[in-house]
Amino acid sequence: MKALENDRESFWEHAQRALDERRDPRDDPRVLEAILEEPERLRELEILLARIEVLPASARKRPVRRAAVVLAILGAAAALILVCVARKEAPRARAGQSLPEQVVRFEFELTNESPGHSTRIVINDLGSKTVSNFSGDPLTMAILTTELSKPHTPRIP
Amino acid sequence: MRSTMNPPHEELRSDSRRGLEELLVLELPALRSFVERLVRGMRPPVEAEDIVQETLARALRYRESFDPGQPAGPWLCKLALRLVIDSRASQRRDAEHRVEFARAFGHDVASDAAAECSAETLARWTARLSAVEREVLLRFHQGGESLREISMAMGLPEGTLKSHLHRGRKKLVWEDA
Repeated sequence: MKALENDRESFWEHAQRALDERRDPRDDPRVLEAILEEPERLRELEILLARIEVLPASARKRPVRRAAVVLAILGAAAALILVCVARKEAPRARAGQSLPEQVVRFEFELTNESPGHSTRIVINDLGSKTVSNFSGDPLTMAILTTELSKPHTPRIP
Repeated sequence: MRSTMNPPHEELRSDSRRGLEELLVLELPALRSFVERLVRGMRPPVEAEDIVQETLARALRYRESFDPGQPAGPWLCKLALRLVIDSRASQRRDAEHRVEFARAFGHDVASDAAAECSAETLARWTARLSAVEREVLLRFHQGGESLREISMAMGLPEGTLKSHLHRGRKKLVWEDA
């Protein structure tokens, strides 16, 4: 039993070394020797190589989430245009009249996290920025923050 | 006048040929069992009997590489293993060409390995990995960064990163391997 475990350890040790050196473990004579001893190891090795190949694809390939990000950006852009138009057409205050509420600042933040990767997009009235980094658990979160001016009565000059 | 008897070396060759063929028949059950274990559960599947037959054909074709002083079993298993590895490489190349061809015509297709993985399966594999293991695996295998580069970027010693890399790889084959 112990000998089997040692064989298994030795097999993985040689396979890992080959991968570290960016060689195909299936060309390593010691790995092949170990497979001849225990043929099922070839499949284990193939599983590992396939998953290593797929891992990056899984980090990149998220069509649904990508669509959600695009929609969120479009929504935020529409909000920005509305704010600009609203500011331009804001009614001028007359003496003794109060002004309606106006958006003076807004910020839209979208966080899209998946295994191994996360993207944070922030769009505000000053421009936009994108931050990407690696992180933990899957999560998608959107936060819209707006700051309104308080209605006030202009003073008579 | 020409003798009807074969010259001595012809007889020897004929004997050794008959000897190898008899050995192949004797080794056939063990070879078949080895190949079945080798290809069991492979996707896409590999037909064990095709490999066995091709192994026998190769054994006869490359009989010069057989040392009669050694047992035939390990020699046959080596031939079979090389055949399976070559056959899998050929399957992978075909699959890559299909993907490249489809992409050249604007079809967004995943590789066979990626297509086999559901989002749940991927989430299950990656959930086993710690954040550091995942990052090291991605940087090393996807980004092609060396351990030294990753060490500089993450501020961790190379030895520690290597341990994370090895542990991450092992976790990828746990359970269902």
